[in-house]
Amino acid sequence: MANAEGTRRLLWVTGVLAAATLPHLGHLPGWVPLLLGVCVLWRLGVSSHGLRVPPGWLRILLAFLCFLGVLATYRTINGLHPGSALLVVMMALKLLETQRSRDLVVLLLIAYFLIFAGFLNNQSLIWGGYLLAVAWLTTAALQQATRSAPPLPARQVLALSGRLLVGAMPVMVILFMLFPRLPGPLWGIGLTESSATSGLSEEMSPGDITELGLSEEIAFRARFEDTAPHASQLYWRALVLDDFNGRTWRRSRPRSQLPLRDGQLEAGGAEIAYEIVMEPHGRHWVFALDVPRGAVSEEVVQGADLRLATVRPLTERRSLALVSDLQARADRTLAARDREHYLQLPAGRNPRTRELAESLRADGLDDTQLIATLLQRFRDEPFYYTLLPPALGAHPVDEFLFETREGFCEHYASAFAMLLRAAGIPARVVLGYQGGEYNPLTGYHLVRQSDAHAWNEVWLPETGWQRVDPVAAVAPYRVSQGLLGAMRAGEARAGRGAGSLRWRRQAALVWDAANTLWNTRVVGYDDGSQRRLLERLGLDGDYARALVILLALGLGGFLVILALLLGRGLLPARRDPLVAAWARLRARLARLGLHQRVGETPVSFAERVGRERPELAAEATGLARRYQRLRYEPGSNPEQIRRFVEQVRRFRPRRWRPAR
Amino acid sequence: MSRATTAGSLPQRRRLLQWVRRRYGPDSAPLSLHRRRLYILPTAQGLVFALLVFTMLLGSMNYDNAMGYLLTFLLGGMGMVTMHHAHRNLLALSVQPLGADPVFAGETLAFRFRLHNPSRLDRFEIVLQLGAHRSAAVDVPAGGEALVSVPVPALQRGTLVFGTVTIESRHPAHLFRAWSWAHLKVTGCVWPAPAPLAPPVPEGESGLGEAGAVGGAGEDDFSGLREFHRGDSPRRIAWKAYARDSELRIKQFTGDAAAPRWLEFARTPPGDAEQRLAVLCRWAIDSQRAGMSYGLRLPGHTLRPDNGQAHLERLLTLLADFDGAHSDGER
Repeated sequence: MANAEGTRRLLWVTGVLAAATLPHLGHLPGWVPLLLGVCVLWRLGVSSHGLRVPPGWLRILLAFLCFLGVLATYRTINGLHPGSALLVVMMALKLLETQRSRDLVVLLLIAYFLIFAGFLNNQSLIWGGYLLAVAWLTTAALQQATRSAPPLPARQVLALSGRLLVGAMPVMVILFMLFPRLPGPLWGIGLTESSATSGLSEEMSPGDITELGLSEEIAFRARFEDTAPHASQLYWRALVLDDFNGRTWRRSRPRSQLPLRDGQLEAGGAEIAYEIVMEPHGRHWVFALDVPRGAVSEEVVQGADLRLATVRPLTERRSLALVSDLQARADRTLAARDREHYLQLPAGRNPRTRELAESLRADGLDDTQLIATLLQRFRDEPFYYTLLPPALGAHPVDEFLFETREGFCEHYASAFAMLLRAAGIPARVVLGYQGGEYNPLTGYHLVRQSDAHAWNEVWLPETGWQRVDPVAAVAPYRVSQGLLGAMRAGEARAGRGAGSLRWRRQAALVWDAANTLWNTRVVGYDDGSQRRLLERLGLDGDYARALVILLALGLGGFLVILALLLGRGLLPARRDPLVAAWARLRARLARLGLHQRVGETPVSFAERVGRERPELAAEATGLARRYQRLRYEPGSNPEQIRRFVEQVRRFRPRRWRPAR
Repeated sequence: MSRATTAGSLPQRRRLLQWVRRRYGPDSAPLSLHRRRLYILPTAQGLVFALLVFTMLLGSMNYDNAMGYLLTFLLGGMGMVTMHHAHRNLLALSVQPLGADPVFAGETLAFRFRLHNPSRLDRFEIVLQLGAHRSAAVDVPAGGEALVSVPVPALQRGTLVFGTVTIESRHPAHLFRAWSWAHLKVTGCVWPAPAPLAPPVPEGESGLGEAGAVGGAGEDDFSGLREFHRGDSPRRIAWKAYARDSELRIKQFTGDAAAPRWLEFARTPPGDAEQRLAVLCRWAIDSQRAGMSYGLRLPGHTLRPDNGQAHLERLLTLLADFDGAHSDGER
């Protein structure tokens, strides 16, 4: 029945539309998918239950309202998300009035475009796989929608479109590698900052980093050229906070913008080279082991507080080659103004903490002893390292140190810096990441948002700025095994096994390896990678020309191979070897001008050959007799056929009669 | 002269077809489609698809989006592969015309073809086209055959001639149209439509030429009974036999065989040649139904009296091919 066929086509198309819209759900206002759903159901109802199509004026009104709706939601129709919302809305309304196959084709082309827009939002491996599957479905639906005969069974049409896509893969690979890439955008539509996740923030109050504690999102990856330092050495600096108001640590604006001075850094001889691949975070931070050495390029600068920063905000994944000196000394001398700055504390906040520090100072301890005493205190007294610290009131440091004694890294770093400053030792808070999970499959250290950490730097006259991590005193696992190690130790204490975590970790590592490969080789493929590829092929110099030549060769070769492969299926079904041998014999005789006539038996043909070319008579008649016997008499065996084929192969009549 | 229709109406198209025809000459059936005679061009949908891919390319370049590039190139590659598939879908297919059964004017001629697929590949959505008339799309399984019929409305009596059959396919996804022109001559005979109202067949002969019994003959000597057919004269029904076993029968007389009925163009009601042929057609059909022996006299043609379906068809074909201009000239 024609209507049932129409419904089947519609089901294909609407299924594809839904699948192509799925990746956009997160960015679309709720009413858009709802509208699509209603339109899909209505149209299916029209096709299968005889529902009426809404009249033209209603559709126009709906279109107008939807346009206004998109405008109201986004305040603009320009940009990726409003654009995809408009596409979905258009698609939904177009669906209502589809009648002919051409309308369905328009819908499917929109679906292709939605898949494309989906990639602009998210380029992860998993979405890549999903959207490729949707592209496959769309191609199948395109075949069903355009087919002028009744729709094919699903398996057949999926196989057909799968064959099309598999055939297209080599073109895709060739073009992807060789199509000339532009270093910058064609016109100025950059990605919005909202699509980048920052993780850390520019300031630190109690509870800030705790929020990141459970996020498995990846902050960056790092790969060391030689052996990696021990996990307890992996302190990735991002930000330096030096301004304290009693609760929140911030960067003091003018000071944080100062560039690194000459002679501020002294080499310590423990240089280490590594590469980091940062996820877009929309900020300027560069994550580097302390202490990074010098600016790496005109793109990256180093400040007086030793941190690295990019000149432009990081809006796409970026990889940087860095060098750090793990034993470098910074600021052996601290100017009086700087010293004063790093001792600043707000008046009237956290009085008990100030008291404690002053009483310790009064005991006559020097700087090093004082620091050791404080860390010992954290270790001995019942301080807990927890992701669920209690809320703190007006004097957060006091409350933490003397009452709750439960906190995450920011509590410890904040309290410790405050104690030191109160005791007259210059100190600051550093925000960044600590540790990282090594993936043996890729050789990369994987640093997640949950590795976010805060620690302190203390200025001592002999050594300059020196890293001190109070959390290491409270929860040494945190530093040697990461947050998970610390939590696992806690779980073990609570009597729960950590075994179930192990295979999940393992699976996560494999998954990360795939993702890394994807991100570095596919998503990160750019004009630089292209140039390196050409250099590896030994083609340097005129890159553009080399690319064009390679492209032409690659595509041309592909087309030839495709034609050969596709042509293979055109061969007729396998012929009987006996018949094929006879045909070969006839072809050889035909070249001498001797054609077997219609109605002429093999033997009579051979006899005629013998009359015209007496020297062939015996052989030709013999072969013809054998052929007739093998072909028409019962009981011929394969061995005889094989021998006949062999004899025919040796039958090579010469074009001209041998001279007598 | 028979009424011939050739494919193509636009002068450019006709010139193109003539060029193609010169290139190959007439073909013999069955015709196997060789790669040199296959043509392929993108369809409107294919062009829109290309535009879409180009837009995606611009987008990918602007956002420098690797996945965008991948999708763009995948779809672009798919377009290329589709072209090959479309081409291959017709390659080595063989076409054999099977002719068309004659119909009356106003009905539809069905030109039948056999498609043979000698390869190991399934073929999809093959459409045959005669002039502007298209067949439904058929699939031809690997190593199999399919029968296609191209419906052509028969508007006028005469012989419908097509010199070119277009074999086309838009499979897969209708991005490309691959086609081939086969120069196979196919003809269909269109009989004149029988006149709805016609005067009774004049009995006897106009006296032109042939000798025969004159007037009233055929109702003298009773020879037997035969079954009743619609159109038989009620005067000849054997009412007595009907009363006996309530079966309608017709009295037959020896005169029937000896005195054939002559359907003569000259004795049809005067008017347009087409109308007169329509009347002849009606007479012939009625005579056949009545089981009579009937012959035909047209200016320039004579068909000896006989009875039977084959005879009727021969007669109707003569009517179809009758050259009206000739008869007009005679009058």
